[in-house]
Formats: sequence, structure tokens, C-alpha cells
Amino acid sequence: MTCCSEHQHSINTEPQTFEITDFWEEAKDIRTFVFKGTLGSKPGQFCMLWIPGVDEKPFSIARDYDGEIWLTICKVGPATEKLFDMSKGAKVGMRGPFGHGFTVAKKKKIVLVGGGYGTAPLHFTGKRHAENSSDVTMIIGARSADLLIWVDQCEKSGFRTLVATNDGSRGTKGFTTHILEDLLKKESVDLVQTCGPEKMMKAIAQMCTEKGIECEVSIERYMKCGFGVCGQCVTESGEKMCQTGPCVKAQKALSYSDFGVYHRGPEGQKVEW
Amino acid sequence: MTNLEVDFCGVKFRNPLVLASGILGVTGASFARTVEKGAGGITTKSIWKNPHPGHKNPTMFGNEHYFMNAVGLSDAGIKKAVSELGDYIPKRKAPLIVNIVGGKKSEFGDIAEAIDDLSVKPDLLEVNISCPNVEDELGKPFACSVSDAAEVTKLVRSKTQIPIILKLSPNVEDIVSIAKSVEEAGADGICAINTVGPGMRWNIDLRKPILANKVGGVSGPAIFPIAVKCVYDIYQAVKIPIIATGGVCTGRDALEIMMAGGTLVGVGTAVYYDGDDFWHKATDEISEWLKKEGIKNLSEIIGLFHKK
Ligand SMILES: Cc1cc2nc3c(=O)[nH]c(=O)nc-3n(C[C@H](O)[C@H](O)[C@H](O)COP(=O)(O)O)c2cc1C
Repeated sequence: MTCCSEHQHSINTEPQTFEITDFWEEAKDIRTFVFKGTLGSKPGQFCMLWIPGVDEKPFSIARDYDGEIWLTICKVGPATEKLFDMSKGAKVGMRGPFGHGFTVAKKKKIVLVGGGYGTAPLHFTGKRHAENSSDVTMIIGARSADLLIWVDQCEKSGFRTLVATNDGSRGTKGFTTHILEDLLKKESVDLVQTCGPEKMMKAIAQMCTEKGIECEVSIERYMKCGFGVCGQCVTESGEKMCQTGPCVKAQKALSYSDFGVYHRGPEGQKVEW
Repeated sequence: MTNLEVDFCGVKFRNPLVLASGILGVTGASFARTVEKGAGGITTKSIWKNPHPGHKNPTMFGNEHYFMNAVGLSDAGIKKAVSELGDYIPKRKAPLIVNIVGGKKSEFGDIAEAIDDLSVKPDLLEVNISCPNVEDELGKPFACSVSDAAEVTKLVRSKTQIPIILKLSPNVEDIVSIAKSVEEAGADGICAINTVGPGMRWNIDLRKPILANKVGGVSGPAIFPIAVKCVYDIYQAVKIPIIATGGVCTGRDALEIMMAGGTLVGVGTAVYYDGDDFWHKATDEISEWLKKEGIKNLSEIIGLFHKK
């Protein structure tokens, strides 16, 4: 019997073992962890990180090249708490990459907008765009200066980096959407890609669609498997965000009646954003 | 033109391939999409009376031979189900099988009653008495005992007019005697089989079981021979129709298990291998085979292996 054809994930989804080789603080309760090896990921894809004996959760991939995988992780629950207690040399399980990443294509001018820890995958994305000779602008937002992540690395990589904080403690006082709105008035932009709170992404998607600018958003949904079986991450369009997403075109996202409104919890119940 | 239609307990299915319980079965949007992609019918994830959390991750993984899961029957309970189903059922474009589960026997009756109260009822009710990965919580499944299986069947039977299907476990000494007992107790159909085992797999570097629940049910290609044998044996022993389930991954597999005795064919893990493409690929393969053999109606092949 033959059983396998084209699939979006590798046929073997047993977690592979990876070692933590380094980590550092990005902000309070946010760390970047370095693992030796590669998953062969594209920017915008995600992996499932298994903290043995606790839980396994999806994380977007902050970097996957030069023999290292980076994940920028916020301490939010039992699995990440356990991870924050682990030392260099500790082993974890990982599987992936899963999902559909951001488009990397020859475009002149690209703006990437990250909100909160949604900024994590955007440096990797910008790096791939830069290799394509695109001109990359980063707009990074957080509630306050101490919660900003990846700003220095983006500057170091030569991306024009614009910062917004809600309280004005660094950069523009206000939201990433304000910076983007201003920028789109003055400059001609070919592609906007965003990852962050869904309401922020919805505002960006609407702004770009009205102006006829190509835009992609990264939709986060509760995930159990990550490879299209459990049905937990399905939007009201019936599409699985672990395969069709997480990165989808703005127009498509705006057609989902749940986009920016609600997502579903572990038992499938609706939870408002 | 070949005709793939089959009749199951008076319900017409445009083709015999139905999505098995627990795969993509969380929301109405998912059901609608799967029907659009070519499934002949849909089974919901197992629905509980009260919200039920399920196990921690990892809850599932697969390889080229088999798939393992210990989702632990997570569900938001009958309230969420009634609102989700209330929206979906009137709009459905293919038959809907609602799958229910309970800890205590009485819970099966309560859920059956709540489903029976829906203004537009589902086409069939499937009763899951055979999940192998909640034993720590619930003990041996009712499908492992002739008397327990019959008792649940009688109770559900007394609460609804919707045709009821009892979902059986292969992890028993004698599945035929269980099948006979639920038939006698009033079941209108049988679904066989649920996952096999439970089994266990470890990560040797981490010295940890891969599934958070330590053990989980095995599905996919490796269990296909077990499913064929169970269906073959049950078909000989009972008169009620069977939803033949377990390891079906291709159109030819579906034909084989129908000839062994399946009227409908449940498909779960194939979605892992082929995604949404499975449905059209399999129905095309079935149609082509029937054409080649000169068979006009697919329903003619049900139980063919038993004819001499
Ligand atoms: C991830 C997963 C979840 C499942 N959840 C349920 C469930 O909630 N209720 C149920 O009756 N069976 C459940 N099953 C069992 C399937 O419906 C089916 O009986 C079994 O997987 C064998 O078929 P397959 O090899 O085509 O997957 C589940 C199976 C899988 C793989």
C-alpha cells in the first residue's frame, strides 16, 4: 500500500532532540534561546518546542541559518517557565518547520511591522529580503521601552528601524500603525508584512488594502499538532492556520470573519481578542 | 458513469468516505471545508456533557508507518456543541454524524438527549465507547465489556430516534461478541475500529515518552490489516451496517475494506499524509477501478469477499 504524496510537513513528525547552546534576555521575561542545528525553515514559519515532562508549544522561528536556530520566547506559562529554568547544554524536543511563511520576492521597498513579541520572526524575514537587495524598514512597537525586542539587531543589520511605544518611553509615542500611516503618506512601499497583536494587524491589513499595497499578516491560533490533523487552528473560512497560515495575504485574512475578533481556546471554545 | 452513492441506515451519502471522529472535527467551518473538498460525510470530534480539557502536548505524531495520538478527548462541552451544530446542521451539504462520549454511562444518555433536542437533528449519532487514551481517568472503555456496551446502547437508544452507531474497540478478546451485544441492545450500526493499543514510544535522548500521556492510540497504515479483519468478522456476525474505519489511506484501501463488509468508510489519519487532497484522489481512484471492472454501483461491492 502506498500512502504518501505531496505533504506540507515532513512525513515524520516525531520530535527531534536539540541542545540549548546559549540564551540571553531580550526584555523582562523575554529571552532568545539558541539551539544547535537547523530545521531548514523559511521566515514566518513556526516550530513546536517540547519541554519534556511539561508541554509542547508553537513558536515562530527567529532565525535558522549558520547552524543555529533561534527562538525568542516570552515567559507565559508552565512550559516557558520550565524552559527559563534550563541551562546551556539542556536538551529539548523540536519539530517543524511548519506552516506557510512570509513571501520573499524581489521588491524594491519593504516595511515590516512587529508588535510585542510578534517582532521575533521579522529580523529573519528582513535578512532574507536584504539578500534580495530589497530596501527594508522595520517598525517595532511595544507598550514601553523595556518591552521592546530585536531593535538593536535590526539596526545592526542596517535596516531603517522606527520605534513606537505606547507611553513614549522610546521612539514615537503611540502605535506602530501611526508610524506606518505617516510613512505610507510620504513613501511608495511595495510590500508590508506584519506580526503582532491581531487587532494591530487588522488595522494594518485594512490600511494597506485601501491603499492597494500588498500586505501579509501572521495569524496566531491555538495549535495542538501543527500539521493539519487536530483542526484546532481552523479559521471561519475552514482553512488551517498551521498550513495555509500563519502568514496569509491581508485580503484573505480580512475575509475571515474571526480575524481580529476572536480565536479558539484549547477545547475549541471562542475567545475574544 | 459510476455511482458512488451508498445508503446507511436510510441516510444517503454521495460517496462512502466519511471524516472519522477527532480529525479536523472542532468547528463547523472545518466540516464545511472538508465536504467542499469531497468527503461524503463528516463525523464530529467526541462531544462531552461538560467541558473536558484533554491531555498536554505532545498529543500526536506520525511517521511513514503509523500515527499515534493521545488528545484525551478535549472538548468544550454540550453547550458549545449545540450552538456550533445549531449553526452548521441546517446548512450542511453532506450528512453529519455527531460523535458523543461520556465518563459515566448516564452522561451518554444526557448528551444524546441534548442532541435530540436540536431543532434540526444530525443524520446519525455515533457513540464512542472505545477511546484507549483516557484509561487513567475513566478506566477500561465500555467497548471492552459485552454488558457495559449493551447498557450504554440501551440507554442512548431510549433517548433518541436518531439512528445510533456504536464505535467499537479492536483492543478486546472478541470484538464479534461486542458487536452482537450492541446489535441486540438496539444499535442501528457499528463503527469499527477505534485506535489500536494503546501503544508507547520514547525519545531515547531525553528518556521521555513522546506523548505527554505516555501512551496513545495507534492509527494509520499499520492498523489497516487489523481493521480489515475486524470488519470482516463483524460483517459475518451482524445484520446492521458498518462504518469501516482504520488505516484507510487510498481508494483501493477503501474498496478492500468495503468488500470486507464496510458500507461507509471512516478516514482519519490519511488526512495527515494527503491533507485535503485525499478525498478527491480516493474517489477518483474508486471510480476508475469500478469503471475498469464494469461495476456501475459501488454499493454492489459491500461484503463482496463473503459471497461465494
Ligand atoms: C488525532 C486523532 C483524534 C481522534 N479523536 C477521536 C475522538 O475524539 N473520538 C473517536 O471516537 N475517535 C477518535 N479518533 C479515532 C479515529 O476516529 C479512528 O477511529 C482511528 O484513528 C482509526 O482510523 P484512521 O487510521 O483512519 O485514523 C481519533 C484519531 C486520531 C488520529
